[in-house]
Amino acid sequence: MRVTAKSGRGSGPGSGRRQGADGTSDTAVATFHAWFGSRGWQAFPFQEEVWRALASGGSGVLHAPTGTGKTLAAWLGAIARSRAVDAARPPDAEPAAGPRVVWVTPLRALAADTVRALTEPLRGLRPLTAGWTVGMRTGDTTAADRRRLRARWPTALVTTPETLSILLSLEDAHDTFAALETVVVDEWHELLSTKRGVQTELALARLRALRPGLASWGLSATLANLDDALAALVGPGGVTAARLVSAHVPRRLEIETLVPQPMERFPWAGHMGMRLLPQVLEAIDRAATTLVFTNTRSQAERWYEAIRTARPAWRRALALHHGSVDRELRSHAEEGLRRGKLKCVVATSSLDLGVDFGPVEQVLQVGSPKGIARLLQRAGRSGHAPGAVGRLVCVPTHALELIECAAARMAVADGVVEARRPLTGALDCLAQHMVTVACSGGFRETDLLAEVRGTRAFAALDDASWRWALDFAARGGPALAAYPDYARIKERFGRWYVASKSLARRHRMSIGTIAGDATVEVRWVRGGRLGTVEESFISRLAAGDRFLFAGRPLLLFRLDGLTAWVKRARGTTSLQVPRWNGGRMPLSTLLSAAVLDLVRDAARPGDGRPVPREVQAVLPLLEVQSRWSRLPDRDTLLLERWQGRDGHHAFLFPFAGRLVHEGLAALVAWRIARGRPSTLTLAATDWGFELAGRDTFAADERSWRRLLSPDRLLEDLLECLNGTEMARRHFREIARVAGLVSGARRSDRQTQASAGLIFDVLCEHDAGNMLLSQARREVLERHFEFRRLRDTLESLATKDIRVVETSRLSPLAFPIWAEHIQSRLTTQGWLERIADMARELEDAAGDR
Amino acid sequence: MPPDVTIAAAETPATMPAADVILLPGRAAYLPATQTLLVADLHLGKAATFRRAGIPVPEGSAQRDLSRLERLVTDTAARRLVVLGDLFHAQSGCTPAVLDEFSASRSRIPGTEVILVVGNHDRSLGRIPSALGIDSCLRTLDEPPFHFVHEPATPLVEPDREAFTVAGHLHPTLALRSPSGDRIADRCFVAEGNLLVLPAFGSFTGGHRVEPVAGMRLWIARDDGVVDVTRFAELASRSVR
Repeated sequence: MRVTAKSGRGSGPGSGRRQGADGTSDTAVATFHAWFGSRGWQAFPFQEEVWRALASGGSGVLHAPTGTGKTLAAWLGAIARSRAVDAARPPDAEPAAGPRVVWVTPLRALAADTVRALTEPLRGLRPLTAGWTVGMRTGDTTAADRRRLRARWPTALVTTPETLSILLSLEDAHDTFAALETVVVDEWHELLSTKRGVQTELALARLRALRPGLASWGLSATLANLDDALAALVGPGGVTAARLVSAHVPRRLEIETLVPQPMERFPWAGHMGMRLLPQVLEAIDRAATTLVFTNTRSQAERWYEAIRTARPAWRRALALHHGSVDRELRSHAEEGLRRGKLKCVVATSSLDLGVDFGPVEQVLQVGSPKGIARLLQRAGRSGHAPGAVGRLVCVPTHALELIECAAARMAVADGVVEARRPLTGALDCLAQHMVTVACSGGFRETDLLAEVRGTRAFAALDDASWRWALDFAARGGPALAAYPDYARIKERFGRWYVASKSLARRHRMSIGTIAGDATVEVRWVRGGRLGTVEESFISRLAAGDRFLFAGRPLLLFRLDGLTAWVKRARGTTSLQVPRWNGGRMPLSTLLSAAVLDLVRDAARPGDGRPVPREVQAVLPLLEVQSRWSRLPDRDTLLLERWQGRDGHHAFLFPFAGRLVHEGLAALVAWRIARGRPSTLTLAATDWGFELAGRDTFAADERSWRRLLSPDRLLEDLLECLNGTEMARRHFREIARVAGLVSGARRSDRQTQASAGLIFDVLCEHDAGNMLLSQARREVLERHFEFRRLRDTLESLATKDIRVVETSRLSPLAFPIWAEHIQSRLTTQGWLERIADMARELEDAAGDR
Repeated sequence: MPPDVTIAAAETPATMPAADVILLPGRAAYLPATQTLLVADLHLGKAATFRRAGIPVPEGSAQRDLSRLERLVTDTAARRLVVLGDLFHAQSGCTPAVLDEFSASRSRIPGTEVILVVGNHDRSLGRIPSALGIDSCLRTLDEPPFHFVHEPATPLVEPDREAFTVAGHLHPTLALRSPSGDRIADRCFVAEGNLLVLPAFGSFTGGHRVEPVAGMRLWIARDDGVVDVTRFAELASRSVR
């Protein structure tokens, strides 16, 4: 059947239908409904809305909870759009080669599952999908497979943001995307507030420049700021013609918390460790398949080990899944989960995303979920069988987490959720993108500037920053003399091209390596990989030391460059557990406020909402807190001073999330140390922060009021960044993206330098380098959540400050103290510091 | 029986204590008996190597390091300068600008003999151009009781050697931690038995962490000072918490 109608190319999403592409799209939609019917399903209205919008060339963001059919909405819509384009093509026109649909997935581990999910409906939709194929290209695709792919492109290509950038950097990018009609970004919310999201925004702008009629769709979980998600996807200029589609699918969720038996006093000032293990085992017993989520990889290792030891009979039905475990072992766990062969999988955020694991009946969340969106995401991994109910059980590991669990549970019931802010103005991403475009046919400066300003991330890019980024890519920096013999891109006849083929090759290799610590591969002496672990952990171990990794007790045999050779260790006592960086989210603002309210309500029973059972279990602890110190509330800032053996400590409880507390700690420490040379150490949790020093500091309320003043906030923060190592440490990611350090694993030995060293050289010899200011800005905005920090200080200015001298660590102070030192701030000279440190050690030695 | 060689740190290059080896501020050592200044691992031209490979690292560290070196020669009135290897980073970094800077710097200390004990990086250059004004290039230099070499034999202590070895190559660094959590990490001199390893002199060079063991002597080495931290490291390793 051929309908002679114009497709909705370039027109608004609503108008296309009226113009008469309806014929084809009606046929397609009817086919889809019939296919749904043949499987005993019924399409949701939101699915049909997306099908029709896509058929007429419209773009948008579809948000719905996990497992409600977002994939089928976008995928069938893309098929409908292709049919409409075919119908509009003159009969004698030859269709271009290359994929018609590009499907971007945030994790390469998800690509294979996505290919499977997209391939599955194709057969049943024939003849609509006759000849359709789905393929994938990710960082794992072999050279041979890449060649095969390029010789004959599949109709739909599944890829990652990094590989999409690589495809855009190839000389024939124009031909590769000549047939592209639809691009779908899966799990858009995951990419949104990251550099990879910026990379995706730039890639989408490039694709729109290559294919002006391109339809783009983002699939997202529900967020508070969906309009930002839409603007980032289609660019601020495309928002009016695009649409937000909401699923309105009721997903029944049951959330409960494991509450420990009432006890007089919590051990370790609240730390419960594995105390709830018996109840966890009981819960796992109850369901056919359980997913146990933890917040960190070390926790996952510990819980896996504990469950395995307690239930040896589950040995074959138990698996461990986290980002450092070898890919093969992970796939094994995923496959087992999908087939319902596993009783229980212990995982980190590595399993937050992905194609549904049907058999999962319940999810256990070990530790506080820290955010409402995260709780929803994880809860959504369960109960996918038809008519099933999603079930999540919170397992607190600390008494205070009981309150956080209660707050999260109640927030879900109230239907609130957090926002995710997309990043803007990342010059490292811009410089990388410039080289990418220069590698593929070059660019005219004005064209690329307009294209880049069309993204949300760079809509406000000023001329000076653009100029700087171009100079950086071309000459290393604006100071010509500082960068002799350097050129990455060169101008010829008004266009910028990459300077050489070898530089282009090098650039492609470095595109999109996610910044991370140097990692060491863990291998059996007898052969076989176990995964990777941060070098900083393994370098602390000596040969013969025993540690827990990938769910196995191991013995370090030999460390050899970037490989740790291990043997199986006998017994499970005295095992060390690696501490991996990252993975720790701060408590969201929404939850922080709810937690503080619960604490206050608990203090005044009968005055407001009933006390939830989680909080009731903590009442004895809160009672101790109010006896030894006092309980915090919304109108007062609690401040505890405590004299320890190692010096003076101050604990403050603003309840503003860990990142803000880290920023506040650095700021206050700087303001203290500025006046008098000293060294202070800092620690922070979601509830408060600690400052500690050798000598006493800020005793009364008046001086604290001054230290916490919102005046001169930005200036003071920038100055204190120089006193800490934070900007230097944060520079690693920027250096990687901007191509200052090699992302490749085995790089040329002669060009290896740490990001920290390059940071120092830049500070000394090119202090105006804008990547340095970007590092400072990113620490402020992303690391310290500057806006939230400023709001916090402004609200603290209106509160009473209550300084309490405590004779021992209070239940609220203890968890902060137990975090140990996270950073330090100093205004002392190095000789003086060494002398002080040595004196401290002598004193400690004398005490023994 | 290893020779008895005394080592001491100087507060400034002008006020030198009595010892066989004097460690100077600025990551250099001085031998009063032969009026010899010792440095190791300058890695000149490393930034240029990076730029050649398309990595924008600014120039400036080579000039700064060379002028620091000139000052040390002047301040100590050294009769000779012995570079314990890795004077240059790589062939691709030996641009005319870098070589010119070196020979210009060399000509500003005309009264001093310059000896290069060749390091692994220098070897990749092939022949060292005579225009640079380096008086001799040697694999090792033996002047009892001293044995000068770039790369010390592993393990660090060479028990059967009669000489006291002074070497570079390892770029040693040290991290010190106090009970209250303060931490300092910097380059260092390491001495153990009859071996002394110098820190890297070049400012654009990385480092390798030294794990202190009993019997090891350590000095934090910075541009503006050098300080003995042997006792500190010993105490710190005892009070692991």
